[in-house]
Amino acid sequence: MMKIFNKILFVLIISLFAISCSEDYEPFGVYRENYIMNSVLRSDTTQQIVTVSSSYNIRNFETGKVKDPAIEGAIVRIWEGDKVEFFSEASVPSQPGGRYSTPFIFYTVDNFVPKAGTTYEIEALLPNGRRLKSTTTLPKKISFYTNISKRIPPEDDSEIIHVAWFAPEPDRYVAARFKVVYFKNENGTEVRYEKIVPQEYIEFNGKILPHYPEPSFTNSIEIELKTFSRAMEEISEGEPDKTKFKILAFILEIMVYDEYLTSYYASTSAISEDFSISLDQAEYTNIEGGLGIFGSFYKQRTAVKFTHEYIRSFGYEPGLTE
Amino acid sequence: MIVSYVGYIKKSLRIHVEPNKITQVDIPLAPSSYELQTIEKVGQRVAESNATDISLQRITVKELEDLPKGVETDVFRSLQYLPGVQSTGDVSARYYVRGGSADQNLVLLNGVTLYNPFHALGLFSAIDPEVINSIEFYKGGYSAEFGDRISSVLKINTKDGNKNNFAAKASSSFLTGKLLLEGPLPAGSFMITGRKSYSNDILKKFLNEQTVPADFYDMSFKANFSSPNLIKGAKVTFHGFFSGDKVSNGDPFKEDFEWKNNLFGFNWFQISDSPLFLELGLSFSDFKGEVIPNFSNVKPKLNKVEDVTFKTDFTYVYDSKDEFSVGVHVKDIETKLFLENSKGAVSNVGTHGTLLSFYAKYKFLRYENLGIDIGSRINLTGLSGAGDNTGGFEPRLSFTYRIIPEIAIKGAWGIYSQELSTVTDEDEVITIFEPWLINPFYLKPTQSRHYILGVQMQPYNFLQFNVEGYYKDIFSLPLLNDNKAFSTDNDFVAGKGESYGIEFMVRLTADPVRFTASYTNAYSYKEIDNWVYYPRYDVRHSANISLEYNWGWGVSSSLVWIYSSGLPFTQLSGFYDKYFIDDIYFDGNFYHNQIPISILDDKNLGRLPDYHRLDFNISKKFDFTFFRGSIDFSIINVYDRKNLFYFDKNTGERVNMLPFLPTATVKLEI
Repeated sequence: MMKIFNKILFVLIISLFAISCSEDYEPFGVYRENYIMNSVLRSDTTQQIVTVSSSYNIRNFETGKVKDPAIEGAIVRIWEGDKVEFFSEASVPSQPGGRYSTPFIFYTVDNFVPKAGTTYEIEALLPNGRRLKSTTTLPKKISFYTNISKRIPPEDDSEIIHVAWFAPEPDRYVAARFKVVYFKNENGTEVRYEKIVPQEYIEFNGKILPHYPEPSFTNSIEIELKTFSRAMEEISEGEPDKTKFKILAFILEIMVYDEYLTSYYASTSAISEDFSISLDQAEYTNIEGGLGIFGSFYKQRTAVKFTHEYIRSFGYEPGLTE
Repeated sequence: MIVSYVGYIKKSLRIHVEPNKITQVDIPLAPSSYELQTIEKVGQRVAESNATDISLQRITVKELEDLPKGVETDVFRSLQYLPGVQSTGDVSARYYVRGGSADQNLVLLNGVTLYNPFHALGLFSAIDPEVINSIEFYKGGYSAEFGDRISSVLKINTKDGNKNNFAAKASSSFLTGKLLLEGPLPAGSFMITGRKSYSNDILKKFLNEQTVPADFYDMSFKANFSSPNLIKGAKVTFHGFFSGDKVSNGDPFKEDFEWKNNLFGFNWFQISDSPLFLELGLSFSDFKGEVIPNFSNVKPKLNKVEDVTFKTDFTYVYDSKDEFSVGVHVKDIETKLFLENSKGAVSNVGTHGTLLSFYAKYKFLRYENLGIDIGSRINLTGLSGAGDNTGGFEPRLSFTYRIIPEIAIKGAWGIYSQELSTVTDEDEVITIFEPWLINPFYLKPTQSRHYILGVQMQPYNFLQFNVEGYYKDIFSLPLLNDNKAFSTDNDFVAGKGESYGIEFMVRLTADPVRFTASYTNAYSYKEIDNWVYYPRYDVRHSANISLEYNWGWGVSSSLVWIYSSGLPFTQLSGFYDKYFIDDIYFDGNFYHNQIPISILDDKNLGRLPDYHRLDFNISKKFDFTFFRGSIDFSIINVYDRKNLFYFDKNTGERVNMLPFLPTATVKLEI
C-alpha cells in the first residue's frame, strides 16, 4: 500500500513540476507589409524633408538587428495647387549611436517655404508601384491681442507675464515658449546664445527643476516674473563677471500645428497613468495606403518689451533700446 | 420552539401564535465556545424547495474563510471560483459574469449601490469580510426588484452586531490591520469596523515587483433598533460605509491618484398583523476618483457620482404561500467627469438624471413542485435623457419545476437595462481610472436579454449536480470611440454584445469533507461598426476544483485548483520605425527620432497560454480563557506556475501573474 502511495506521490510531484513551467505562445500573426511616409512641412525653413520606409518581418523581438528599412528610388512630389515640386533623394552619414550604421536616406526639396493657410498634397510612388498620398493645410496666422501688457516686468505690478492671441483655428495644438536672446563676451568675441524660459521651476528632493509646457489648445501663455528672473540668473550661473552678458531681446515663439500633426502628437505622446498597462498603443495616421504622418506647423515670433532697469538688476547690459 | 445554530448555545422557549397573525419574536442566542465536529441528521431532506433561484449562488462567510487567501479573505476573488465568473488575471479582483463587462455587475451593500468596491488599483475588495452576514450572487435572470445593471447582482448584507455582549476582534495580515467592535444598544445592537493598510511590500508580487505606493482604509458601521415599545413590528437600521484609497508617488513629475466612497443608508422594515411586509429605504452613495497630474504630462481627471435613492417595497404573502410584491424606486444620480477639453480648459462632461422605476411581481409558490416568479420593471423616466427609455418595459420570468423530488428544471428569461457605465479602455490590462458616466444622450440605454435553462439533481443528500445553459445578447453597448480624432467626434459609439455557454457543477458535502468541481464552456463576442471580436475576458474553457477538509480541533484546510483556457490578445503582424515627436519645437532633425514599434494584427485573435494554479489554505482556531482567535496560512500558486499576464509588444518581455506566494493572517477576538 505504501509503495502505491509513494508511486502516486512521485507521479504527482513530477506532474506538478512539468505543468509549473511557462508555456510558449505565438505572439506573431500573419505578416502584412506596410509602407511608411513621414514629413512635417515647416514654415521656418526653406528645406523640407520626407522619409519613406517599409515595415519589417521579424519573428522575434530583435529589432536592433534589422537593416535600415528606408526605401530608395521612390518618386516623391508635392503640389501647391497646380504647382508641383519634386523631392530629390539624399543621404547623410549615420549619427554615432544611431539606430542604423548605414547612411540615412531621405528625400528633400530646397527653396520651399510653405505658406500659412495653404493646402499641400504629397505623393510617394514606390519602386514596387505602391503609392502613398496625403494632404496638409498649414495653420493660419494667429494675431496677438494688443490690449494685454507684454512687458517684462509687467507694468501693472502683477508679477505675471501674460500674452494672449487669437487663433482662427481653435482645434490646433500650440507650442509656445519664451526665449531670452543674449550675447556673451568670450575672449573679446560676442557669441549669440538663447535661454529658454521654463513654465515654472519646481523644488524636488532639494533640487530646483525646470518644467516645460506640453503643446496644448491654449491661446495664451502666463509665466511668473520670478520664473523669468531665475532663468535670467541661470544665464550667468558660475560666471562672476556679469558684465560679459548683453541681453538683446525677449522673444515669444509660437508654433501652431495643423490638425493632423495635432492628432499625431496627441496619439504618440498619450501617456497612460502610472500603473495602467495598455496593450495596444494608439495608432494614428493620415497617410493613404500606409502609415506615418504628413503634417505641418506655422511658427510666429513676437518680441516682448523690457526695461533696462530689469536687465541691469542682474548685472547684465541691455543690448537694445527699451 | 427550539432554536440552535452552530457556534451558539441552544435555546428552548414557548411561543403563543394567534390565527391569521404574524408573530414576531427576536431570539438572542449566546455564543458557544464549543466547536461541533458532526451534525446530527434528522429526517429525510428534500432535494430543494420550489424556490425560483436559478443562477443564484449563496456564499457563506464560512465558505469565504475556508478559501485560500491571496493576502486576505476577499469577496470578489471568491466569486471567481464560481462557474460563469471570469477574471483577467491574478492582479485584479474585477470579475466578469457570463460575457458581461465589469461595469455591468451591480454591487449592493445593505441594498445600496457601491460604485468602487475595490482597493489598491482594483487588487482587493473594499468590503471587509469580517462585517459580512450574507452574500447572494445572481449571475443572471434576476427578478424585477433589481434594476440598472444588465449582467449580475451581488447582494451583501452586513452583520447587525452582538445583541448580548460587547465584543472586539482584531486581526492583521501582511497588508492591513483591522478592528471590529460590536455590542448591544438599548433596543438594538451595533457593529463598527475599520481597516487600514500599513505595508505595500506584498503588492509588489501582484505588479511584477513594481512598488505600488498605495494607502487605503475602509470603515463601516451598522446600528439597528427593534422594540415593541418604539414601533411594534418595526426594525430600523442605520448603516454606513466609507473607503478611501491613495496612490502617492511622492514625485512632482509623477501623477497621484485618489478614490473615495461614502455610503450612508437608512432602512425601515415593518411587519404588521396581516401578512404584509413593508420596507422603506433612503440612501446616499458617493464616489470620487481623481487623477492629480502634479507636473507630469498626464491629463487631470476627476470623476464624481452622487446617488440618492429612495426605495419602498411591499410584499404580501397569501395563505397559499404565493407572494405579491410591488415597489417604487427613485434614483437621482449626478455624474461629473472633469477633463481637459479641446481648449485646454477643464470641463464637466457628466450629467444628471432621475430614474423612476416601478416594479410588480407575483410568485406562485402554492405547488410543492412548481415555483414561478413573474413580473416586470417599468422605468417611467430615464437617467440619460435619451428619450428612449421612458416607459421602458422590462418583463422577467423565472421558474422551478421539480419533476421528481431529486430533479428540478429551472429557467429564467428577462430584459434588463442599464444607463450608467464606466469609461473603460479595453486595451488596458490594468485600468487605474475608470470613471462612471450616465450614458450620453445620443445612445439609447444599454439593454440585455437573458435566456437561462438549467437542471438541478440531488440524488443523495450529500451530492448535488447543476447544469445551466445561458444565452445573453446586449444592445446599445457604449464603447469608446477609437476613431475619435477631433473634439467634436462622439466619445462613445453603440456596440453590441453576445455571449452563451454551459456550466456544470457538482458538489459533495459529507462532513468533514466538502468537494466542489465545476466546468464552463463559454463564448462571448462584441461588435462595433460591424466588426466582431472577442472581448478580453472571453474564456472558452474554465474549471475549478476545490476540496475542503475539517480535521477537527479547530483545524480546517482547503485545496483549490483553477484552470482556464487562454485569454484573447492581439497578435503582432510586424514592426516599423515610428516617428515620435520628442522635440515639440522641431529644433533638431525630426527623422532621427524613429523607434521600432510593433504593428498589430486583427484585435484579439491570438490566445495566451492556458492559466492554472493550485492554492492551499490551512487554518487553526484556538480558545483561551478570555479570548479566542485563529491563525490562517495560505499558499497561492503552490507549484509556481508561470501564468502569462501580458507581454510587452515592443520588447517581447514576458510578465507573469502571481508567483508562489505564502501568506498568513492572525485574528484575535475578545
